[in-house]
Amino acid sequence: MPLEHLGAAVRELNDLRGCVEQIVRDPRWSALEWRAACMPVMLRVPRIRQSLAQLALIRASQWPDTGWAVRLCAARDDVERRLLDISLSMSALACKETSTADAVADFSSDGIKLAEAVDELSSLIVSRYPAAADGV
Amino acid sequence: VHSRDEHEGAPAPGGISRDGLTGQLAELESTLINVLRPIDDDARLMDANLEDAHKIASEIGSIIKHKVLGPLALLDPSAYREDREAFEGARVDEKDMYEVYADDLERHRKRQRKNLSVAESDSDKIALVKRRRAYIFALQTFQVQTSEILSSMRGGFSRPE
Repeated sequence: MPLEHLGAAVRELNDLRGCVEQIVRDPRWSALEWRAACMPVMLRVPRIRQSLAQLALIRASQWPDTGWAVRLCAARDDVERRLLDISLSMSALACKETSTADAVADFSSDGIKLAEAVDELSSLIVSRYPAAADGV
Repeated sequence: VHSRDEHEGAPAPGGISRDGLTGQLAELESTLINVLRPIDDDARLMDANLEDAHKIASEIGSIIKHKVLGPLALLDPSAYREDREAFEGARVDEKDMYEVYADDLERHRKRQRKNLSVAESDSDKIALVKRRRAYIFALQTFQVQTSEILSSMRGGFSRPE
């Protein structure tokens, strides 16, 4: 896998984390506001999925640094699951006219977990391939 | 103390030299050890690496079963009966535990999407943790048995009659 792909993945991940953290910090209460606020995240999801698919090529059975590949697979898997969770939370918020406190709490919790998972994955890539952070 | 009777110098089936086959197996075993190392620190890492770990084990299992311990294979099957049985037991355990763990993991992930009660969620997690532990143990046992076979291939040990 070319280093540029890892660099692109790191950039996408950091970008997504920034967007998610910003929404979590500043919750809204109407569906219209939520839809607008979540748009940057929704727009990034396809690119993030593409990056995750690229990272899925890194397998413990094939990568030279097996231990790192084992950790990377787990971190990537975690981001995929958290991404699915937050997609569901976003849909719940954007579909109802007014947001319930529970739905907002769910979104915040999912957002924080996604940001943590993304940070873990990005850090793991940069710790092994520091050049991937260039241009971030 | 007698060295085990090995088919010294005999080419392994499939046209691979004995050294080539030993090297191939050693490399796979080393990958398996490297997979197990971080998992020993954090067992949850196994969830995302299950397919790969099982793939490596299957490759090792196939090589040993057909090229190392099978009929007309590298090591004399009659002299290595105990090793073969121990290895076969570990191989079957790994496969069985994989099947159960993979099913549980899939079910757990599907159920995570539903609104489970705290009790249901805890019960799911406990079941998964047990399956995961059982699989890791089976994989570790399989790796130890592989290591034994590799020692025999290298002619590294002998056994009293």
